[in-house]
Amino acid sequence: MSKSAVKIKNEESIKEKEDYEYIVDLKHIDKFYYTGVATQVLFDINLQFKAGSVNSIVGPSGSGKSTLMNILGTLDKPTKGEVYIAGKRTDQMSKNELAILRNQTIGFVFQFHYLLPEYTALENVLMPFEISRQKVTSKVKEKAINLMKFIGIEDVKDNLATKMSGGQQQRTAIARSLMNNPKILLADEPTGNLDTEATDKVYNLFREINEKFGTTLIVITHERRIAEKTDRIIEIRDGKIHLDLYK
Amino acid sequence: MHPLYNEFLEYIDKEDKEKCVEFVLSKLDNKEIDVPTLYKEILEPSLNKFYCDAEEENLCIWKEHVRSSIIRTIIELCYPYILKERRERGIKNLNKKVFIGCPAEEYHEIGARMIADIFTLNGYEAIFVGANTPKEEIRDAINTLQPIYIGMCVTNYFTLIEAEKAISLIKEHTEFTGKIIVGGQAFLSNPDNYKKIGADILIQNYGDIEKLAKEG
Amino acid sequence: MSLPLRIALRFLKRGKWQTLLIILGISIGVSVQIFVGILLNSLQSSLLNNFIGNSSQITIVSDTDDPLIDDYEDIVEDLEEFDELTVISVANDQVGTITIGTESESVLLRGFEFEDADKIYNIADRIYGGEEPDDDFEAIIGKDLNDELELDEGDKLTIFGFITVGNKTVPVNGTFEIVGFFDLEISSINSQWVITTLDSVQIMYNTSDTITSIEMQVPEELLYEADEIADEIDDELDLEDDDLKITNWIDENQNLLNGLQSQSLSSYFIQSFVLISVVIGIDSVLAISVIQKQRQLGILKAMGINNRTASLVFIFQGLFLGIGGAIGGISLGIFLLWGFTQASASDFIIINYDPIFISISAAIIIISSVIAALSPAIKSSKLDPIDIIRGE
Ligand SMILES: Nc1ncnc2c1ncn2[C@@H]1O[C@H](COP(=O)(O)OP(=O)(O)OP(=O)(O)O)[C@@H](O)[C@H]1O
Ligand SMILES: [Mg+2]
Repeated sequence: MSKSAVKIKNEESIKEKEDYEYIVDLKHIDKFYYTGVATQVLFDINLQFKAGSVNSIVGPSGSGKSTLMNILGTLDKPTKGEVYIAGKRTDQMSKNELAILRNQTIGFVFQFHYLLPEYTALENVLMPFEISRQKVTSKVKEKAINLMKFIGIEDVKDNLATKMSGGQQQRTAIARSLMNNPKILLADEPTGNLDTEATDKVYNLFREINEKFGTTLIVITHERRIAEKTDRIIEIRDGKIHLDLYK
Repeated sequence: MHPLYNEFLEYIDKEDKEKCVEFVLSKLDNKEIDVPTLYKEILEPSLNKFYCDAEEENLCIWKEHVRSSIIRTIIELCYPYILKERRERGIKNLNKKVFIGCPAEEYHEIGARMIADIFTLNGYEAIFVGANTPKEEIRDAINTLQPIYIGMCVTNYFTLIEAEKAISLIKEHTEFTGKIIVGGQAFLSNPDNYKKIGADILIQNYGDIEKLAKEG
Repeated sequence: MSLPLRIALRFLKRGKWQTLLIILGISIGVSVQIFVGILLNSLQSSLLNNFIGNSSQITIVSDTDDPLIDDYEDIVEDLEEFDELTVISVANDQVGTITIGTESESVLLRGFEFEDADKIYNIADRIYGGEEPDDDFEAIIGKDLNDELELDEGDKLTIFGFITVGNKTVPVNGTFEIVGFFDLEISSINSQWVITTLDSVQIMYNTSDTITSIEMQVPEELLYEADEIADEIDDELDLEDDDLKITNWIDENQNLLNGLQSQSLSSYFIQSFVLISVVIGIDSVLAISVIQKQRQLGILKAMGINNRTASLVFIFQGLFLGIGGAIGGISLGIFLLWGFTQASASDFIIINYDPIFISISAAIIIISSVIAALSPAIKSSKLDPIDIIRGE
């Protein structure tokens, strides 16, 4: 990309910023699962996230954290309620519109890290970029490798996704989620498999990304080490926001 | 800033336990300082200074531990002075029990100890149960002790969650009808958090405890 | 290269053995189709070449008891106006007898304008001893006949016949010099035909300048339109007015044609079934692949590939399998045909590696593969990433 293009892009994103108060805005979200009987797992959730904030979501297993995150990430639709991402209402968008939105705006680190086993670690990291249909230049590759270096997996960059340890896979998934400089990073137990040192590293990486790019972080975690360092802790219990604490 | 603070800081910065203890005791004996002022203006600031440092730099956990231990020793030694001071101030025993503790996963207990001493000074029977107390333990203690107040110290913002769990357990599963008092670092930047976790009163300084005692 | 194309290639590449196996499966199917199709096509054209190619395809003969046709030259002139006719050859055929030892045997004495007749019967190339008849009362005889007669070049052969004068039957005979021997590879011809010049027959049977038939051929590509061309000639020349009738090979060989047609039909059946099984094979392999890859598709969709891309991944896989199968199948089919010609001693069948047939087969198999990929592609397009992300 030329310099002027970068500039234009920045100006655009600044402009966009003015259009909305919250990067993520959930209004009156209900979620039911229908498995024979209807089970309600989210109850009238109202939740706003400021752009550039660092947030954690905690709560017991089965409380609805992943469900909430999937709705936040536009992968799932709420049974009732409205979801706004960067000022745009998403719960009525078409699947293809959502796909573009996700690719450009949201980085995911899933609870079960989900790499593509047909691809090497590096190729996995590059995938979001490829999906955006831009050309993978050597510069882009360098960026991917730098990301991998930063979280300490450059040694395994040419390994197939299946030929890595759980922790390496997880870190690859994190690098991948950051590839497109998303406005929002959604991470579901991103450090589940990592030791304390790696956990701290991941957190530091998140912080750095947040500071450098203003990425909004929303992290589901049961790790106190991570949660206590975020600016806001949201505790979900039984499908409701039980606590919403700011540092 | 208290005029004695800098000198104390000098000793504790060198991890010089002996000097620290001697310095404090001599000042108490000389009545150059009373216990609440010592706590509020010397011990607490120096303690908080370490917490902050520790959080940012990550390198001086052991230092934090050494300093905490020095301060803990000082606090233990202050107990007779508390009782003496209470007598001198003519504060009578209120015959009211106060439960003081830290929620689960909260390992910072010094603040709670100091609070307990201040309650003692104000005529309460303060019972300090220590750091990292599981909510079930707290519940059982409450049921046994029947305190009038429950004081919970929360330093780490994450343990607000544990504090909330303990508070709701108390509310649901004890006969407790008194007030739940919270305090600590966790409320520093966002005092509103105390309401969110279900507490009734936030203590931000020792004067609040005196007021409480006066209100009865 | 587009993203779905690359993903498709990667999926195929990482499932190497599975891919090779299915390409092998398609190849075998295609090779059977190619083998059967080309073999039967070649067989039919060889058959036609042998039986129809070297015989009269349209014939004009007398429609009355008198087989003789006079003023035939006008008719030939008219026939020459027809572009569809490649050969026009007149013949005067008479039945005669010869004696072999004590036996007498009937022969068919055929009087030709040799050059014209040769175009139909391809005689000159198949004379294996001696030369073609040129002068009056020179004749050539077939191989089988000579096995009995054991004549040499230059030997004489006397043929007896009858002619009708008024209502009396009068014997005639002619003595021919045998100038050569032919082998037209059909035993009834080899044992019965005595080929001589038109004049010789006319002289011997005292028929003046008449003939008994006009024999014609059409170009190979019009072979199956011989009946229509014959009708056209009939209409144009009003042959009935001259007491003539026209016949064609199609009407006269209905049995052969029926046989060929049912052979073609069975060949089409076999080819279609092979094709159907190939399509079902690809479809089921890709359907399984969608299930195998749904995790990957879910991840890709979560990261933002759209439904079109997700379905194209499978369309391309179908395309590649089809192309691979077509290439493999055509190679294998040609190899099988080559093996077949090596193994079979007969050179009766000339294998015609018809490029059009092969291209059509390739096109059909590739298009079918893409069609087979459609339902997996639709499934892939419909797959909801949340089912995968939630699935564990
Ligand atoms: N597909 C589904 N169909 C029916 N119920 C579901 C489905 N997915 C989740 N649930 C239910 O919804 C509730 C919330 O699940 P969710 O995965 O959001 O929990 P969670 O907070 O992420 O838990 P964990 O910490 O274990 O990941 C659970 O009770 C779960 O059983
Ligand atoms: Mg979950």
